[in-house]
Amino acid sequence: MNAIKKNIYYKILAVAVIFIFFALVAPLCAPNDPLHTDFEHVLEKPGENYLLGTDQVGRCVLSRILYGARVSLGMTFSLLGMVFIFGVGIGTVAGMSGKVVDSFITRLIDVILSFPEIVFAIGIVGIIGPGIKNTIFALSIIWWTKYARLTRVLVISIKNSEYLAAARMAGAGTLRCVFKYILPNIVSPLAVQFVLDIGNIMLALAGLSFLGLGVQPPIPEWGNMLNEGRAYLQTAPWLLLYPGLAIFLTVSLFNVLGDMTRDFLDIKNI
Amino acid sequence: MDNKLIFRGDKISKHYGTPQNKVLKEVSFEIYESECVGFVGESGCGKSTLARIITHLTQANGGDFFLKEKLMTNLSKIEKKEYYKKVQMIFQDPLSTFSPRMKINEYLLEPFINFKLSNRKGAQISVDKIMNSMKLPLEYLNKYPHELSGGELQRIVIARAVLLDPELIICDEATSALDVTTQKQIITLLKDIQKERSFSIMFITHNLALAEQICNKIYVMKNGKILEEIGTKSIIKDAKHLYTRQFFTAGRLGEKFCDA
Repeated sequence: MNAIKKNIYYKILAVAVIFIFFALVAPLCAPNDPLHTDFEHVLEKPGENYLLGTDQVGRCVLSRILYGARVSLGMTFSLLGMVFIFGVGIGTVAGMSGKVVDSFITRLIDVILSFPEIVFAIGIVGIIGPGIKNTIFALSIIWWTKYARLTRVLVISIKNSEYLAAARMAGAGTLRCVFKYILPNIVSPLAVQFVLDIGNIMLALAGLSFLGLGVQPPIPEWGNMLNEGRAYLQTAPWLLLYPGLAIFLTVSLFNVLGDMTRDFLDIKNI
Repeated sequence: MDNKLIFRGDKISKHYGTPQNKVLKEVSFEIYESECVGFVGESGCGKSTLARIITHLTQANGGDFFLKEKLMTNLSKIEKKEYYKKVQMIFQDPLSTFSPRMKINEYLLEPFINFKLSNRKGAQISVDKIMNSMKLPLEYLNKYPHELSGGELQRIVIARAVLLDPELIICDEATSALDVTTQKQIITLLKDIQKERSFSIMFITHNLALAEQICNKIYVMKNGKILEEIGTKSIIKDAKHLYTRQFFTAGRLGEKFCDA
């Protein structure tokens, strides 16, 4: 990676950080209450009063998008954090133990991964009912497998390395081997996967919300804003345009960031 | 030599996959105190497998081995840890012996922490001391392994092995990955420390000429068997097997070829 590319990478990283920051301080910079209905200004075009217009019950679209960022990012990161820790943990156990435990975990992962992820998630949410917590739960049941599988392979590759043999000869026990030798050496490919998944998970969550299975109205979330605005596509296109744009830009941003992180950390084959 | 017996292997066997695919066939050997014993043979003759078995990195399928006449074939986790205080190994490729994300200092402190030999301060003093005696600058302690050369790394590996005051050090092709001059330095260093601390060396190599120079006796291996045991005074004369003679002359020829 040359200096120019590095420069671009830092800029994109800065944009992502600014973005997350804005999502966190949404209550401070949003012009209106996202739940406040103003019946004198229903379906108003973007203009002076409301920068990005209002929706069918007169709520400020800009404020809803800003608050929605908080919900979307919050859900994404809590889900990702959960599956990351859980997946890496299970993957490490599988990689280190080998034999029966390993084959059991591998089969389980294979079974879960054999379903298309959105269909599987819809199925689970259908059973346990919609809602923020349930959506996160449904997606995490699928998503941990990716980290577990990646971790397992990485752990096995290091388990047979000479430096782990050397570590054992220096008296390191299994736990010490894992935390001192294995995890530090596999953290970069996992980090790339993590950043790449931010966009993917956001898209999956927005998709479920759009289908009415994720975040329930009136809580603002980009997916369900699209869902609610669907009926007004021809009369009030800004109801779809701005949340759609928000999803598009955020997902692109984090995908580019993920790709560049991979180049930055100089990792091949993920 | 009328020294004490340190290590003894008794009919060690090993096969990979099916029992027909034997890599070690009833290998027996003896290593005495402060002796340097060579294990020489071509690639695939089972010498590295032997080293991995006696360091408990793989399990043997048959046979036993003894450290000071104590059976060491099957050990619990705790016993293994004790065992590693007595038996240390130096690997072929110095760079792959180091975790890429661990500084040299941490690498050298590892045995102190894991075996609870001393507190951190005392450990650091010992590490500094061993670095000095290896003639390595102390700045290296704060470097990562990829910043050092192979020879320097191998010296650090030896330093850590020696730190524990082991009874036996296994050198599995310890110098094969290094160039000839560095090879010589490392071997001189190893011999010097051996004189000082009097441990035994199990020197595994494919270079019979090198083994001849530094070992007290040599086991010649072929196809998983020990072909013969010879002293190093006069290999050509003593060698009973044609293979040994061929192997030796081949090595010599190779050296001449390289010198020319």
